[in-house]
Amino acid sequence: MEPTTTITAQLESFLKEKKITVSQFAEAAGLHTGTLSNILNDKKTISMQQLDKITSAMRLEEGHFYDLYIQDCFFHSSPDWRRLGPYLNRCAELNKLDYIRQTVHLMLDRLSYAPLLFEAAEEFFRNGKRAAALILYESLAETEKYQHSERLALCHYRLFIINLCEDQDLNTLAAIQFEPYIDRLDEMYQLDALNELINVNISLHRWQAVELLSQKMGHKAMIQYEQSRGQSHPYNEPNKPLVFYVLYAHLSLGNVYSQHGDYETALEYADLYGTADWVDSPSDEEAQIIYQFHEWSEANRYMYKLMRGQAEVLPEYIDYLSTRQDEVFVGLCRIVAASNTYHFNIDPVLERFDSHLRLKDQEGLFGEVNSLITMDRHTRLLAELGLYYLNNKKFQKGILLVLESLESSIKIKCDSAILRCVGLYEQFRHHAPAESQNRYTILIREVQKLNEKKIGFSLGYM
Amino acid sequence: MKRKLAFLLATCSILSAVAVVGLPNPSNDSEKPVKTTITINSHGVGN
Repeated sequence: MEPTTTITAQLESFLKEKKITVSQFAEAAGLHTGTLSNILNDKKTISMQQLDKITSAMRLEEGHFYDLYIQDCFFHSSPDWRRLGPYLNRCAELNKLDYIRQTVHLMLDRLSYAPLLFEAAEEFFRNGKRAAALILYESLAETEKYQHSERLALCHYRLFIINLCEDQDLNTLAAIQFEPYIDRLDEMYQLDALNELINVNISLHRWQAVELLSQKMGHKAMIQYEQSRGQSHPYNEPNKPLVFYVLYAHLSLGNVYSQHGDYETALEYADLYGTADWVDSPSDEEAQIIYQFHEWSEANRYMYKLMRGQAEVLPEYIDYLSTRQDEVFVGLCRIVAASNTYHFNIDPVLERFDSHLRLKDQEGLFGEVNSLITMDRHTRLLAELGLYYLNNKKFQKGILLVLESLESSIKIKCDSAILRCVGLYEQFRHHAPAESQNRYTILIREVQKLNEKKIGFSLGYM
Repeated sequence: MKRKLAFLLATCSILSAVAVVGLPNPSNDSEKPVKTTITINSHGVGN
């Protein structure tokens, strides 16, 4: 068992060992001699700033005494937010997450600290210290007394955002855990939370959830829009003008119907978000949004017609895409899928837009397109392209693309995409060169590992 | 004798049927064009 000690005891030993006087050390550390004496005589609790100065003067690494600080200031004496706040901040800066966890654990019984911890979590979240924020939000959510409090709902919203990653299984879990809290959020956050949740569910292909959430978002946004009319500065505004959420709800619903192969209804929705004549004298920002949705409506009309087998719209669609660089990637995804369904040649299109086939962040009027959706799209585009070349008897190229898609499907842990690639490869495996066969063996081993992990077996598979 | 004749006739008819239709070739399936089963999200999705 290690002997317990205190920061002041260690400082005293240091001064003794190095034969330095208190005033000499105080000068080196940039502290008043009186202050240092009071600290050494336990008459004054050490502040974070003083602790960092002392640590630096002792030539120790930053945060060296942070574990002892928990014992000295929060465990053996009554915690004070004047010390606790700066301590949590420094731990977050130095990424000493274990210390944050220990400290927050000590605070959990003191419910009066909850508002302060929540403020700290919000600050961490705003400043991009997400790992630190996560610990605070999780602890607050666990100890929240009132199940319907807005703070609890906001904690779950933040946890949902922080937990999103490339892994679709984890994203499904994050979405399911957050869904029940949407209606408990403050109105100010509800529409953005619905928007985020819809996008995550789209990337997960949970179409029923997308449909319900889109209906909810459209309904809520329309009510808020009606209420805000005539008010110069409506309170509790979401991130974007309300018209965006109404139109995006229609677009998302149209997308759901297109996924089910109901292109007629999808086209009806395209009309709904293509014209927003219900908006009274739109502002410049609103007019820009309305125009953007009008553009998407036009593009999606081409797309849905193409998916219905109307190959004659392809030249017009290509013309449309060639003047709108932001839309080329999505357009290509659909064109390849349509060509695989109706078997028309798209070699010139692929050649023309070759540079758009690589994975890169997609930008638009509203900033970056949801990266989870872009990853999912690209994974599926690779498989569709592979299939296109396989159908056209360009077997090596096709197999290579199917394997690339398989690798990407494993990365995002998407079962349906993995199965699709395995099915395609197995169908054409006798055309695969030795190199591709080896790559497939390695990848299928990864699939096996993933599967065993999922069903709870050990990871001993070789 | 009649039974043997009936058996021979049945065997011949099966063999001739196989000769007409042909044994399934595992590589034939892959030569058929495959339709797509996955659709990709519309323009504007992900914003």
